[in-house]
Amino acid sequence: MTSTFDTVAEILQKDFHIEPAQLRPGMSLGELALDSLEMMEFVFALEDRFGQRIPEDRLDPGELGLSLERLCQVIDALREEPVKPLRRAA
Amino acid sequence: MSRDAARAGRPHAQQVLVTGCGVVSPLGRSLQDFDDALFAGLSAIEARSLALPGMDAIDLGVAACDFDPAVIRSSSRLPLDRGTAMALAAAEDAAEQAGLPKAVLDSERFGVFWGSGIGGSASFDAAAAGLYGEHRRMRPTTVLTVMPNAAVAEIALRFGARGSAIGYACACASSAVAIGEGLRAIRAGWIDVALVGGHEAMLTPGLMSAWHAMRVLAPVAASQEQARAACRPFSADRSGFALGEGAAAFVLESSAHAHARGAEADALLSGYATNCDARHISNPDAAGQSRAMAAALRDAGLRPEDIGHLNAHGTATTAGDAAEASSIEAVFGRAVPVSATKAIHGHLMGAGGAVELLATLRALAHRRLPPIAHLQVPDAGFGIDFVRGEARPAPALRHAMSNSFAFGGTNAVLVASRVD
Repeated sequence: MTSTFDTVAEILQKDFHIEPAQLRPGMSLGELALDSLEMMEFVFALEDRFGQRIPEDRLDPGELGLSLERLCQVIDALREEPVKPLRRAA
Repeated sequence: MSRDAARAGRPHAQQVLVTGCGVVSPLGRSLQDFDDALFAGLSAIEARSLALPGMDAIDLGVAACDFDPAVIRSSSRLPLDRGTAMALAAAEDAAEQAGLPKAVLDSERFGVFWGSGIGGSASFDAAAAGLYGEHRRMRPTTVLTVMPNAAVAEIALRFGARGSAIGYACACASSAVAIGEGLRAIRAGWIDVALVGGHEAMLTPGLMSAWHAMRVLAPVAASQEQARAACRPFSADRSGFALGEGAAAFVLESSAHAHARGAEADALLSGYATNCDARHISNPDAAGQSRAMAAALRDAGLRPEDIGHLNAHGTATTAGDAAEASSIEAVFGRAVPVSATKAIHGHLMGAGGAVELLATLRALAHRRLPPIAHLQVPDAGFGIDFVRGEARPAPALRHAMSNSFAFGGTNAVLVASRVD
């Protein structure tokens, strides 16, 4: 498991009370049983933690079939791209 | 004759019992810790320094709770405001003591009545500081954690209370009004069980500096010893109050409902009245306070001489204590022993009425009256009986009153009685 996955797990535990033992990389976002508001809050928490705006075409909050593993890959790819840091985003 | 007067001495159809209580306070979270500090007059007020760009550095007295909001889980799974977390903790303890989790309740006859002066002030202060100071955007859940009824909603969600879920915001009388309105709803037959109380958690830089600017806080030197005695209600040398935080919750239940499920109670909420001075936005009015105390007595079907203890609002401001001493004297003369517990737990604002009702109920339970801490020399102009020095035994105590008087002119008075 990657450090990105661990950080995602930490956010899910701290903010959404989902124990890390319940998480698997192949698990879909839908299986987290977050409602639409929680999903938005989750995406905000990810963006704040990783200092990156996650474009909607990479992660539609409504895209519940996305796996945690794929989510981590999206985040890792963004962090390697020369994307503008969050605070200067338009 | 007013309707109140016509009702004097006539019992309400439904007695309302206090079947559970819970507290998160600067004096502790267990009733034992609360009692230990209450009857010994041990103050939890400490000095805190605050320095922000744009203002002079200040020292003020605060009574904070030893409380970690992260241990409380919201039913909504939203981030919890510190005050909402305190509210949930107190409500859970009250429900546990009342045996509600195991009781079979008609959820539509179970309501929540909750007071807070400002609501999610800690969350809003932090979010605003993040936006303006650090250019961090607001979170999608900011509105839901800041709204004044955030705690009401979380409590209703946790316990499945579908009868009503109403927040009351009337400054320092908020939780006393919430408790009283819960009492009225049960008496009127709308519901059988109410979770009532209030919370406030505003020990944040923005709110502390706002209170300081109002010049109502006791000046505090950096010494902890001096800070502990900073709030001196009814004292000749009083100089204002210290900010506190916390929550207190009660389960109110119709006696019929409590008896049917075998729930025990040693106290009942016997009277309540609220009114408004409608004279000044912040200056208290003794006449309005006297009218509220007299109306609460009529509501309880009691006479002034029946009240064996009064827990005063007692903010230790020059004008506040003068008005209250005058209003108490007008209703009771010197006949009622008076305590003022803000001296040890600080001013809990919207939660004050609830925490001070708890102090009143503890006095009733132990038949001991808490002393007014740090009261060496009472103001010579006050002709009432202060409990000074040590806790005073009160073997015949049956009925007690708790006062809450608010900015905005709202007065709320609760009367509690022993069941035996």
